Parts: sequence; C-alpha cells; structure tokens
Amino acid sequence: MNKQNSFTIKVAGFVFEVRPVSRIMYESCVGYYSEEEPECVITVTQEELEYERKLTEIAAAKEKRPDIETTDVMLERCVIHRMISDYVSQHQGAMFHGALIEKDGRGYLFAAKSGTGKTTHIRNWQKVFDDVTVVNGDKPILRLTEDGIYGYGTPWCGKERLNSNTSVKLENLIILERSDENSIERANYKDYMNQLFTQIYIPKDSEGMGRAFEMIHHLSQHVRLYRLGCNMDPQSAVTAYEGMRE
Amino acid sequence: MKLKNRILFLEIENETMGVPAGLDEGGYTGMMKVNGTARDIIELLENEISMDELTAKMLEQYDIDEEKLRSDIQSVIDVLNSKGLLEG
Repeated sequence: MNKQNSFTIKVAGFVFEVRPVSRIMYESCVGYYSEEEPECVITVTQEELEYERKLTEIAAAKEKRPDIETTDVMLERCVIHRMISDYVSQHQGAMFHGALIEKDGRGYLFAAKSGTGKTTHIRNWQKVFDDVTVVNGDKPILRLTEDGIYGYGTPWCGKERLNSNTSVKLENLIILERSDENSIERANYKDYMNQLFTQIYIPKDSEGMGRAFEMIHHLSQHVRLYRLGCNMDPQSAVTAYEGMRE
Repeated sequence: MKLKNRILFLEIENETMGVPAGLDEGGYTGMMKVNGTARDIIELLENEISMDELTAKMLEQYDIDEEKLRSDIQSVIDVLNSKGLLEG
C-alpha cells in the first residue's frame, strides 16, 4: 500500500479517500480536494489494475480498436473511475457519459455516440449565450433526490477538461445526432433505451444492471427527453434552446 | 433449456423492457421490448424446462391455440439464443 499518495476528494457530495499508485490522478482532481471525513476508501491494487487491463482488452477487441491504450497510468484512472462509479450506483446515483451544462438554473445533458460533436455543440451554447456553465463535458454524476435528479461535476471531464465543481437540477436530456439541418423534438425513452444503456455506467456486480435500469426509469419520470438533429453551426444552440422552452 | 442470467423487466412509458440482470465481461447485450406472453415465457425459463413443459405451463395460463403458442415460444427462444442468453 502506497499510503503517502493518498488524498481526499468530494465528488457529487460523496467524500472519497483515494489511494492511488501514481500522482497522476491527484493532479487531475484539482478543485475536488476535501478535508472532510471520507465515507469510502478507494484503493488501487495490482489485482484491480490487472482486472482493468482485461476489461480494456476485451472492449478493444469488441470495438476492433487495437490502439486502445493500456498503460498503467491510464488503467489506474479507469480503476478509480470504476470504483467511484460503483459506489455512486449503490447510493441512488449513476455516472453518465454525456455533456452537462447549466443555463438559467436548468440542467441540459447531451448524450451522443463518441465523435458526434457533443463538445462542439456545448461550445456553441457558450458562443451564443453568455450565461452557460459547463458542469462536466464528459462524465457527470447523476443523483436522485426527493426533488428530482441533479447532475454534478466530476474530475472525469474528457480531454478538453471542461468541468466545474457544481451541481444543477437536470431538466432536459438530449440525444444529439448529426444532421444537415437543425431541428429538435420531444422523444420517448423507450425508443432510445439501447443508446441510454451505453451511456450510463453499468456496475459489473450481479445487481448492477438492475440499479442502472432503475436510474433510467427515474430519468424517464423526472427529465424530458429530446432528440436534437444538429450541424456544427452556433445557430444549432439557438434551435436547441428555443425548442426546449416550454 | 434455461436462461444463463435472470432477465430484469422494467416499465418505461407503458412498454415492458427486458434486459439480462448479470453482465458478462463482453458487456451490454441489448434491450428487448417484450409483451406479456413473452415475459411469462422468459420467466419460466429461469429454471431448466423443456419445450413441452413450457408449452403445458403456458396453456394453463392462456386460452390460446397450441400451435400458435409453440410458434410464439420458438420466437422468444430464437431471440434469446441470438443474444447468447440461453444455456443447454
């Protein structure tokens, strides 16, 4: 155990002590350090790193991407992410792959297949409106409360590092797809279940799928779903925003 | 024949969706939209059962032509097999 590298972070209201092998993760957690008593200790062990290597190799083979990195540093980031995501999933929450922004106190979460242009789209919101906060550009945490679902910033925010340690009530979930013309319409969850299940983190334990399933169910009850067809023009942000003003 | 993993069911917008409860390392295998008959067939497959036993159990519950029922059961089995969800 490499205790001297240990540090404490508070993410989405949860306090974790992280015991990594390297210093890399410490640096990427800037803005999330905490002095509070941890409720969960995340210890990176050699076994966890090897398990992660196996998962990554299986995923790389499945997606036919032999170029996927399996350096120890990368694997360590994945282990910490996975262990925190598992903990969150046991506390009425979920890590979700998407870009979460806040405007006028409302949360907008954009979900898309990798490479569709989520980051470009949320940058367009920032270009067009002067009061948009990027809560997290890649992997926000969602939590169910009595008052609906809230989205939180996390240190996992993609290569552009777009994030802020804040939270917002999630009101709209938008499936983003490329299109020549900009358009937005209400959508049904039942038509996008397969896609949503590739965006939500599914824990590997035997009850994990059930918990992810429940979270999608809560989303369907609390958060409006839209399908946005957009090009990469800044005008697409206006189309999206106007289409969601109800 | 028997399910490898229990299938979870969830109602979303008046539609029933089924998904395997446990994931193997290959990950998520996809969601199935199911009707009431399919759900009952799938639940009976949680324990080892033959085609004849399954047909007999379903006939106790549903007033349905046996030939039609066998064809429905086969369709469900084909979907489960295509997703690698059955053993034996």
